[in-house]
Amino acid sequence: VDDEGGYREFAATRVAQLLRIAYLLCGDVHEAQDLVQTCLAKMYVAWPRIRDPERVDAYARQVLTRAFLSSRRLKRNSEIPMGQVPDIPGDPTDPDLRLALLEALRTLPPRGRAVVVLRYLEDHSVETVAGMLDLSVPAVRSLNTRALAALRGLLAEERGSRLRP
Amino acid sequence: MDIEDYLGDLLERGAGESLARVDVDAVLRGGEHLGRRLRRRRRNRMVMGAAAAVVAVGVGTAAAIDHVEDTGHEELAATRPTLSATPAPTPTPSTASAATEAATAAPVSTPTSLALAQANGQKAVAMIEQLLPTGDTVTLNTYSLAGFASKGGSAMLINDGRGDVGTATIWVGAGSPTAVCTAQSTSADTGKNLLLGGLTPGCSVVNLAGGGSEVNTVTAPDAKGYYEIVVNVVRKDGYTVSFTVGNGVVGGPTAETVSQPLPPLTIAQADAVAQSTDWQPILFKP
Repeated sequence: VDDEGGYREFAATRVAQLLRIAYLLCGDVHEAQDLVQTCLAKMYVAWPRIRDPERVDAYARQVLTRAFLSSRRLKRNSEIPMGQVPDIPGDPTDPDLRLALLEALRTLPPRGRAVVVLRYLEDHSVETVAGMLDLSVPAVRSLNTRALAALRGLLAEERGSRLRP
Repeated sequence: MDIEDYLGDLLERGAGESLARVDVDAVLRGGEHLGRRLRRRRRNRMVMGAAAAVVAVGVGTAAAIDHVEDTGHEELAATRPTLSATPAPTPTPSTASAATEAATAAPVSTPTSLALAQANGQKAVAMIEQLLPTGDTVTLNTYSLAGFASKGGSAMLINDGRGDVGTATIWVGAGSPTAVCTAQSTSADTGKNLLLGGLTPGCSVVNLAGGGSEVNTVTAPDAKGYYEIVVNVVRKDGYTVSFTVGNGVVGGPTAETVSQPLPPLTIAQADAVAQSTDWQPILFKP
Protein backbone atom coordinates (compact mmCIF):
# COMPACT_ATOMS: atom_id res chain seq x y z
CA VAL A 1 0.00 0.00 0.00
CA ASP A 2 2.88 2.33 -0.68
CA ASP A 3 1.72 4.00 -3.88
CA GLU A 4 -0.40 7.07 -4.54
CA GLY A 5 -2.90 5.00 -6.49
CA GLY A 6 -3.37 2.83 -3.43
CA TYR A 7 -4.07 5.88 -1.29
CA ARG A 8 -6.60 7.20 -3.81
CA GLU A 9 -8.39 3.88 -3.97
CA PHE A 10 -8.50 3.77 -0.19
CA ALA A 11 -9.77 7.34 0.07
CA ALA A 12 -12.40 6.97 -2.64
CA THR A 13 -13.84 3.80 -1.16
CA ARG A 14 -13.78 4.96 2.47
CA VAL A 15 -14.67 8.64 2.27
CA ALA A 16 -18.44 8.12 2.53
CA GLN A 17 -18.16 6.06 5.70
CA LEU A 18 -15.60 8.46 7.20
CA LEU A 19 -18.03 11.31 6.53
CA ARG A 20 -20.82 9.41 8.29
CA ILE A 21 -18.62 8.82 11.32
CA ALA A 22 -17.41 12.43 11.34
CA TYR A 23 -20.93 13.82 11.02
CA LEU A 24 -22.25 11.69 13.86
CA LEU A 25 -19.29 12.76 16.00
CA CYS A 26 -19.53 16.50 15.42
CA GLY A 27 -23.16 16.98 14.32
CA ASP A 28 -22.29 19.51 11.64
CA VAL A 29 -21.92 18.81 7.92
CA HIS A 30 -19.24 21.47 7.32
CA GLU A 31 -17.18 20.43 10.32
CA ALA A 32 -17.52 16.80 9.26
CA GLN A 33 -16.00 17.67 5.90
CA ASP A 34 -13.15 19.48 7.67
CA LEU A 35 -12.51 16.50 9.92
CA VAL A 36 -12.47 14.05 7.03
CA GLN A 37 -10.16 16.28 5.01
CA THR A 38 -7.79 16.43 7.97
CA CYS A 39 -8.01 12.67 8.39
CA LEU A 40 -7.35 12.01 4.71
CA ALA A 41 -4.42 14.46 4.72
CA LYS A 42 -2.80 12.58 7.60
CA MET A 43 -3.49 9.26 5.90
CA TYR A 44 -1.85 10.63 2.74
CA VAL A 45 1.26 11.59 4.70
CA ALA A 46 1.38 8.26 6.54
CA TRP A 47 0.58 6.12 3.49
CA PRO A 48 4.17 5.22 2.47
CA ARG A 49 4.81 3.96 6.00
CA ILE A 50 1.71 1.80 6.28
CA ARG A 51 2.80 -1.80 5.96
CA ASP A 52 -0.28 -3.68 7.13
CA PRO A 53 -3.28 -3.14 4.81
CA GLU A 54 -5.60 -4.71 7.36
CA ARG A 55 -4.78 -1.97 9.86
CA VAL A 56 -5.53 0.90 7.47
CA ASP A 57 -9.19 1.23 8.38
CA ALA A 58 -8.57 1.09 12.10
CA TYR A 59 -5.82 3.67 11.74
CA ALA A 60 -8.06 6.00 9.73
CA ARG A 61 -10.72 5.83 12.44
CA GLN A 62 -8.12 6.47 15.09
CA VAL A 63 -6.90 9.57 13.23
CA LEU A 64 -10.47 10.79 12.65
CA THR A 65 -11.68 10.34 16.22
CA ARG A 66 -8.55 11.92 17.64
CA ALA A 67 -8.93 14.90 15.32
CA PHE A 68 -12.50 15.25 16.57
CA LEU A 69 -11.59 14.94 20.24
CA SER A 70 -8.76 17.43 19.76
CA SER A 71 -11.16 19.94 18.18
CA ARG A 72 -13.53 19.50 21.10
CA ARG A 73 -10.79 20.14 23.63
CA LEU A 74 -10.09 23.42 21.83
CA LYS A 75 -13.76 24.35 21.85
CA ARG A 76 -14.10 23.42 25.52
CA ASN A 77 -17.60 22.15 24.94
CA SER A 78 -19.63 21.67 28.03
CA GLU A 79 -21.00 18.29 29.00
CA ILE A 80 -24.64 17.84 29.86
CA PRO A 81 -25.28 15.16 32.50
CA MET A 82 -28.27 12.90 31.87
CA GLY A 83 -30.32 10.67 34.18
CA GLN A 84 -31.15 7.03 33.51
CA VAL A 85 -34.58 5.91 32.36
CA PRO A 86 -35.91 2.56 31.13
CA ASP A 87 -35.68 1.30 27.56
CA ILE A 88 -38.31 2.34 25.08
CA PRO A 89 -39.42 0.74 21.84
CA GLY A 90 -37.90 2.33 18.72
CA ASP A 91 -38.51 2.18 15.01
CA PRO A 92 -35.38 2.94 12.95
CA THR A 93 -37.52 4.03 10.00
CA ASP A 94 -39.22 6.75 12.07
CA PRO A 95 -37.77 10.06 10.75
CA ASP A 96 -38.65 11.98 13.92
CA LEU A 97 -36.82 9.42 15.98
CA ARG A 98 -33.76 9.76 13.74
CA LEU A 99 -33.77 13.52 14.17
CA ALA A 100 -34.21 13.13 17.90
CA LEU A 101 -31.29 10.73 17.99
CA LEU A 102 -29.00 13.14 16.13
CA GLU A 103 -30.00 15.89 18.56
CA ALA A 104 -29.47 13.59 21.53
CA LEU A 105 -26.10 12.49 20.22
CA ARG A 106 -24.91 16.11 20.16
CA THR A 107 -25.58 16.44 23.88
CA LEU A 108 -23.29 13.55 24.79
CA PRO A 109 -19.74 14.26 25.94
CA PRO A 110 -17.35 13.92 22.97
CA ARG A 111 -15.75 10.67 24.10
CA GLY A 112 -19.13 9.09 24.85
CA ARG A 113 -20.29 10.11 21.38
CA ALA A 114 -17.19 8.55 19.82
CA VAL A 115 -17.79 5.30 21.68
CA VAL A 116 -21.42 5.12 20.54
CA VAL A 117 -20.56 5.83 16.91
CA LEU A 118 -17.69 3.35 16.75
CA ARG A 119 -19.61 0.67 18.65
CA TYR A 120 -23.02 0.93 16.98
CA LEU A 121 -22.45 2.48 13.55
CA GLU A 122 -19.29 0.52 12.90
CA ASP A 123 -19.94 -2.48 15.14
CA HIS A 124 -16.45 -2.51 16.65
CA SER A 125 -15.78 -4.44 19.82
CA VAL A 126 -15.16 -2.64 23.11
CA GLU A 127 -11.52 -3.73 22.92
CA THR A 128 -11.07 -2.29 19.41
CA VAL A 129 -12.72 1.00 20.39
CA ALA A 130 -10.47 1.19 23.44
CA GLY A 131 -7.44 0.89 21.16
CA MET A 132 -8.74 3.53 18.76
CA LEU A 133 -9.46 6.04 21.51
CA ASP A 134 -6.43 5.17 23.61
CA LEU A 135 -8.64 4.30 26.58
CA SER A 136 -8.85 1.27 28.86
CA VAL A 137 -11.53 -1.36 28.19
CA PRO A 138 -13.38 -0.59 31.46
CA ALA A 139 -13.36 3.11 30.58
CA VAL A 140 -14.98 2.39 27.22
CA ARG A 141 -17.57 0.12 28.87
CA SER A 142 -18.38 2.86 31.35
CA LEU A 143 -18.66 5.53 28.65
CA ASN A 144 -20.85 3.20 26.60
CA THR A 145 -23.21 2.53 29.50
CA ARG A 146 -23.53 6.20 30.37
CA ALA A 147 -24.02 7.24 26.76
CA LEU A 148 -26.74 4.67 26.15
CA ALA A 149 -28.51 5.70 29.35
CA ALA A 150 -28.43 9.31 28.24
CA LEU A 151 -29.72 8.44 24.76
CA ARG A 152 -32.53 6.35 26.23
CA GLY A 153 -33.54 9.27 28.39
CA LEU A 154 -33.52 11.79 25.60
CA LEU A 155 -35.33 9.56 23.15
CA ALA A 156 -37.95 8.70 25.75
CA GLU A 157 -38.43 12.41 26.37
CA GLU A 158 -38.85 13.00 22.64
CA ARG A 159 -41.41 10.24 22.29
CA GLY A 160 -43.21 11.43 25.40
CA SER A 161 -43.51 14.96 24.04
CA ARG A 162 -44.97 13.63 20.81
CA LEU A 163 -47.56 11.56 22.64
CA ARG A 164 -48.68 14.48 24.78
CA PRO A 165 -51.61 16.45 23.31
CA MET B 1 -36.86 -3.58 21.68
CA ASP B 2 -33.65 -2.39 23.33
CA ILE B 3 -31.97 0.74 21.99
CA GLU B 4 -28.88 -1.32 21.17
CA ASP B 5 -30.93 -3.37 18.69
CA TYR B 6 -31.77 -0.46 16.44
CA LEU B 7 -29.18 2.18 17.27
CA GLY B 8 -26.80 1.23 14.43
CA ASP B 9 -29.55 1.40 11.83
CA LEU B 10 -30.79 4.69 13.23
CA LEU B 11 -27.31 6.21 13.14
CA GLU B 12 -26.68 5.08 9.58
CA ARG B 13 -29.98 6.43 8.29
CA GLY B 14 -29.62 9.71 10.18
CA ALA B 15 -26.13 10.38 8.86
CA GLY B 16 -27.05 9.30 5.33
CA GLU B 17 -29.86 11.83 5.08
CA SER B 18 -27.78 14.72 6.38
CA LEU B 19 -24.84 14.00 4.10
CA ALA B 20 -26.82 13.42 0.92
CA ARG B 21 -25.73 16.72 -0.63
CA VAL B 22 -22.07 16.72 0.37
CA ASP B 23 -19.63 17.04 -2.53
CA VAL B 24 -17.56 13.94 -1.80
CA ASP B 25 -15.11 14.63 -4.62
CA ALA B 26 -14.33 18.03 -3.12
CA VAL B 27 -13.56 16.38 0.22
CA LEU B 28 -11.24 13.91 -1.52
CA ARG B 29 -9.47 16.69 -3.41
CA GLY B 30 -9.16 18.80 -0.27
CA GLY B 31 -7.76 15.88 1.74
CA GLU B 32 -5.14 15.07 -0.86
CA HIS B 33 -4.21 18.72 -1.26
CA LEU B 34 -3.71 19.16 2.48
CA GLY B 35 -1.79 15.88 2.58
CA ARG B 36 0.62 17.05 -0.10
CA ARG B 37 1.17 20.27 1.81
CA LEU B 38 1.84 18.41 5.06
CA ARG B 39 4.20 15.99 3.35
CA ARG B 40 6.11 18.83 1.68
CA ARG B 41 6.54 20.61 4.98
CA ARG B 42 7.62 17.43 6.70
CA ARG B 43 10.27 16.92 4.02
CA ASN B 44 11.49 20.48 4.50
CA ARG B 45 11.73 19.96 8.23
CA MET B 46 13.70 16.78 7.76
CA VAL B 47 16.21 18.66 5.64
CA MET B 48 16.45 21.34 8.30
CA GLY B 49 16.78 18.63 10.96
CA ALA B 50 19.69 17.06 9.08
CA ALA B 51 21.44 20.41 8.86
CA ALA B 52 20.94 20.90 12.55
CA ALA B 53 22.50 17.51 13.24
CA VAL B 54 25.73 18.66 11.62
CA VAL B 55 26.13 21.37 14.18
CA ALA B 56 24.68 19.14 16.90
CA VAL B 57 22.01 21.62 17.84
CA GLY B 58 18.34 20.78 18.22
CA VAL B 59 18.64 17.19 17.02
CA GLY B 60 16.57 15.85 19.86
CA THR B 61 13.82 18.33 19.14
CA ALA B 62 13.75 17.47 15.45
CA ALA B 63 13.51 13.75 16.22
CA ALA B 64 10.70 14.40 18.65
CA ILE B 65 8.92 16.49 16.05
CA ASP B 66 9.15 13.74 13.46
CA HIS B 67 8.03 11.14 15.94
CA VAL B 68 4.97 13.10 16.94
CA GLU B 69 4.04 13.70 13.33
CA ASP B 70 4.62 10.07 12.37
CA THR B 71 1.96 8.99 14.81
CA GLY B 72 -0.62 10.99 12.89
CA HIS B 73 -1.65 12.91 15.98
CA GLU B 74 -1.80 16.64 16.48
CA GLU B 75 1.45 18.21 15.48
CA LEU B 76 3.75 19.64 18.06
CA ALA B 77 1.22 20.80 20.59
CA ALA B 78 3.93 20.71 23.24
CA THR B 79 6.21 23.12 21.44
CA ARG B 80 3.55 25.78 21.02
CA PRO B 81 2.08 28.18 23.51
CA THR B 82 -1.22 26.98 24.90
CA LEU B 83 -4.58 28.57 24.17
CA SER B 84 -5.09 29.53 27.78
CA ALA B 85 -3.92 32.95 28.74
CA THR B 86 -3.92 34.97 31.91
CA PRO B 87 -6.89 37.29 31.87
CA ALA B 88 -6.11 40.94 32.39
CA PRO B 89 -7.92 42.69 35.24
CA THR B 90 -10.57 44.24 33.04
CA PRO B 91 -14.15 44.75 34.20
CA THR B 92 -16.58 42.74 32.09
CA PRO B 93 -20.09 44.03 31.44
CA SER B 94 -22.66 41.40 32.28
CA THR B 95 -25.26 42.00 29.59
CA ALA B 96 -25.50 42.91 25.96
CA SER B 97 -27.14 46.21 26.75
CA ALA B 98 -24.46 47.03 29.28
CA ALA B 99 -21.80 46.44 26.66
CA THR B 100 -23.56 48.57 24.10
CA GLU B 101 -24.28 51.38 26.54
CA ALA B 102 -20.71 51.39 27.72
CA ALA B 103 -19.48 51.52 24.15
CA THR B 104 -21.72 54.47 23.47
CA ALA B 105 -20.52 56.35 26.51
CA ALA B 106 -16.85 55.48 26.46
CA PRO B 107 -14.19 57.22 24.43
CA VAL B 108 -13.43 55.21 21.34
CA SER B 109 -9.65 55.10 21.63
CA THR B 110 -8.38 55.32 25.15
CA PRO B 111 -4.85 54.03 25.72
CA THR B 112 -6.32 51.23 27.78
CA SER B 113 -8.52 50.08 24.94
CA LEU B 114 -5.63 50.21 22.51
CA ALA B 115 -3.48 48.24 24.91
CA LEU B 116 -6.21 45.62 25.20
CA ALA B 117 -6.56 45.47 21.43
CA GLN B 118 -2.82 44.93 21.13
CA ALA B 119 -3.01 42.20 23.76
CA ASN B 120 -5.74 40.49 21.78
CA GLY B 121 -3.54 40.73 18.69
CA GLN B 122 -0.65 39.05 20.48
CA LYS B 123 -2.98 36.33 21.77
CA ALA B 124 -4.27 35.75 18.25
CA VAL B 125 -0.72 35.33 16.98
CA ALA B 126 0.01 32.67 19.63
CA MET B 127 -3.32 30.91 19.14
CA ILE B 128 -3.00 30.69 15.36
CA GLU B 129 0.60 29.50 15.57
CA GLN B 130 -0.55 26.75 17.89
CA LEU B 131 -3.00 25.52 15.26
CA LEU B 132 -0.65 25.70 12.27
CA PRO B 133 1.89 23.08 11.21
CA THR B 134 5.33 23.44 12.74
CA GLY B 135 7.49 25.99 11.02
CA ASP B 136 4.63 28.28 10.08
CA THR B 137 4.79 31.68 11.70
CA VAL B 138 2.33 34.48 12.33
CA THR B 139 3.23 38.15 12.55
CA LEU B 140 1.18 41.27 13.04
CA ASN B 141 0.63 43.03 9.73
CA THR B 142 1.82 46.46 10.75
CA TYR B 143 0.95 47.91 7.37
CA SER B 144 -2.73 47.04 7.80
CA LEU B 145 -2.71 47.96 11.46
CA ALA B 146 -2.46 51.66 10.74
CA GLY B 147 -6.23 52.06 10.52
CA PHE B 148 -7.50 48.74 11.85
CA ALA B 149 -5.85 48.97 15.27
CA SER B 150 -7.52 52.26 16.09
CA LYS B 151 -10.84 50.42 15.78
CA GLY B 152 -9.77 47.60 18.07
CA GLY B 153 -8.65 45.08 15.47
CA SER B 154 -5.46 43.27 14.62
CA ALA B 155 -4.40 41.93 11.24
CA MET B 156 -1.88 39.14 10.85
CA LEU B 157 0.17 37.54 8.12
CA ILE B 158 0.67 33.78 8.10
CA ASN B 159 3.95 32.52 6.68
CA ASP B 160 4.60 28.87 5.84
CA GLY B 161 8.37 29.21 5.80
CA ARG B 162 8.56 30.10 2.13
CA GLY B 163 6.42 33.20 2.12
CA ASP B 164 3.20 34.76 3.31
CA VAL B 165 0.30 32.46 2.48
CA GLY B 166 -2.64 33.81 4.45
CA THR B 167 -4.18 36.76 6.22
CA ALA B 168 -6.08 36.66 9.50
CA THR B 169 -7.87 39.38 11.44
CA ILE B 170 -9.36 39.55 14.92
CA TRP B 171 -11.72 42.16 16.29
CA VAL B 172 -13.37 42.15 19.70
CA GLY B 173 -15.84 44.89 20.48
CA ALA B 174 -19.30 45.88 21.59
CA GLY B 175 -22.32 45.27 19.39
CA SER B 176 -22.86 42.85 16.56
CA PRO B 177 -22.64 44.81 13.32
CA THR B 178 -21.60 41.88 11.19
CA ALA B 179 -23.48 39.05 12.89
CA VAL B 180 -25.83 38.66 9.97
CA CYS B 181 -26.01 35.65 7.72
CA THR B 182 -25.75 36.93 4.17
CA ALA B 183 -26.03 34.82 1.05
CA GLN B 184 -22.76 34.32 -0.82
CA SER B 185 -23.27 34.25 -4.53
CA THR B 186 -20.78 32.85 -7.01
CA SER B 187 -20.48 33.67 -10.65
CA ALA B 188 -19.21 31.26 -13.25
CA ASP B 189 -15.86 33.05 -13.14
CA THR B 190 -15.35 32.89 -9.41
CA GLY B 191 -16.78 29.41 -9.02
CA LYS B 192 -13.81 27.83 -10.72
CA ASN B 193 -11.54 29.07 -7.97
CA LEU B 194 -13.36 26.94 -5.46
CA LEU B 195 -12.59 23.67 -7.15
CA LEU B 196 -9.25 23.19 -5.43
CA GLY B 197 -10.33 24.29 -2.00
CA GLY B 198 -13.36 22.12 -1.57
CA LEU B 199 -15.21 24.81 0.40
CA THR B 200 -18.49 26.24 -0.79
CA PRO B 201 -19.49 29.87 -0.18
CA GLY B 202 -22.30 30.01 2.31
CA CYS B 203 -23.36 30.93 5.77
CA SER B 204 -24.84 29.26 8.83
CA VAL B 205 -25.98 30.36 12.28
CA VAL B 206 -25.33 28.26 15.36
CA ASN B 207 -26.59 28.76 18.91
CA LEU B 208 -23.69 28.13 21.25
CA ALA B 209 -24.06 25.70 24.15
CA GLY B 210 -22.97 28.21 26.78
CA GLY B 211 -25.13 31.04 25.42
CA GLY B 212 -24.68 33.44 22.53
CA SER B 213 -24.59 32.61 18.86
CA GLU B 214 -22.16 32.21 16.03
CA VAL B 215 -22.37 33.10 12.35
CA ASN B 216 -20.05 31.11 10.09
CA THR B 217 -19.44 32.40 6.59
CA VAL B 218 -17.30 31.28 3.69
CA THR B 219 -17.19 34.29 1.41
CA ALA B 220 -17.37 34.06 -2.35
CA PRO B 221 -13.92 34.47 -3.91
CA ASP B 222 -13.01 37.71 -5.60
CA ALA B 223 -11.65 37.93 -9.14
CA LYS B 224 -8.25 36.67 -8.01
CA GLY B 225 -9.70 33.77 -6.04
CA TYR B 226 -9.19 35.31 -2.59
CA TYR B 227 -11.84 34.35 -0.06
CA GLU B 228 -12.19 34.13 3.70
CA ILE B 229 -13.63 32.02 6.43
CA VAL B 230 -15.43 34.53 8.67
CA VAL B 231 -16.58 33.57 12.17
CA ASN B 232 -18.61 36.08 14.16
CA VAL B 233 -19.35 35.05 17.71
CA VAL B 234 -21.92 37.13 19.57
CA ARG B 235 -21.22 36.32 23.19
CA LYS B 236 -23.80 36.29 25.91
CA ASP B 237 -22.08 39.30 27.52
CA GLY B 238 -22.95 41.34 24.44
CA TYR B 239 -19.50 41.52 22.89
CA THR B 240 -18.74 40.31 19.41
CA VAL B 241 -15.61 38.43 18.41
CA SER B 242 -14.99 38.58 14.69
CA PHE B 243 -12.26 36.37 13.27
CA THR B 244 -11.34 35.96 9.61
CA VAL B 245 -8.75 33.91 7.81
CA GLY B 246 -8.12 34.10 4.07
CA ASN B 247 -6.22 32.14 1.46
CA GLY B 248 -3.82 34.91 0.44
CA VAL B 249 -2.25 38.21 1.35
CA VAL B 250 -4.34 41.35 1.38
CA GLY B 251 -3.97 44.70 3.08
CA GLY B 252 -0.25 45.02 2.47
CA PRO B 253 1.93 47.44 0.53
CA THR B 254 1.95 45.16 -2.50
CA ALA B 255 -0.89 43.90 -4.64
CA GLU B 256 -3.23 41.21 -3.33
CA THR B 257 -1.87 37.72 -3.87
CA VAL B 258 -3.71 34.41 -3.61
CA SER B 259 -1.38 31.77 -2.26
CA GLN B 260 -3.33 28.56 -2.02
CA PRO B 261 -6.81 27.10 -2.55
CA LEU B 262 -7.60 26.81 1.15
CA PRO B 263 -7.05 29.30 3.97
CA PRO B 264 -4.33 28.18 6.40
CA LEU B 265 -6.93 27.31 9.06
CA THR B 266 -9.99 25.09 8.70
CA ILE B 267 -13.50 26.23 9.62
CA ALA B 268 -13.31 24.22 12.84
CA GLN B 269 -10.01 25.85 13.77
CA ALA B 270 -11.38 29.31 13.02
CA ASP B 271 -14.37 28.44 15.23
CA ALA B 272 -12.05 27.46 18.05
CA VAL B 273 -10.18 30.77 17.83
CA ALA B 274 -13.35 32.87 17.75
CA GLN B 275 -14.97 30.94 20.59
CA SER B 276 -11.97 31.20 22.90
CA THR B 277 -12.86 32.75 26.23
CA ASP B 278 -9.49 34.45 26.42
CA TRP B 279 -10.38 37.52 24.38
CA GLN B 280 -10.44 40.77 26.30
CA PRO B 281 -13.67 42.71 25.83
CA ILE B 282 -12.93 46.17 24.48
CA LEU B 283 -15.28 49.11 24.37
CA PHE B 284 -14.72 49.87 20.73
CA LYS B 285 -17.76 50.71 18.74
CA PRO B 286 -18.20 48.81 15.48
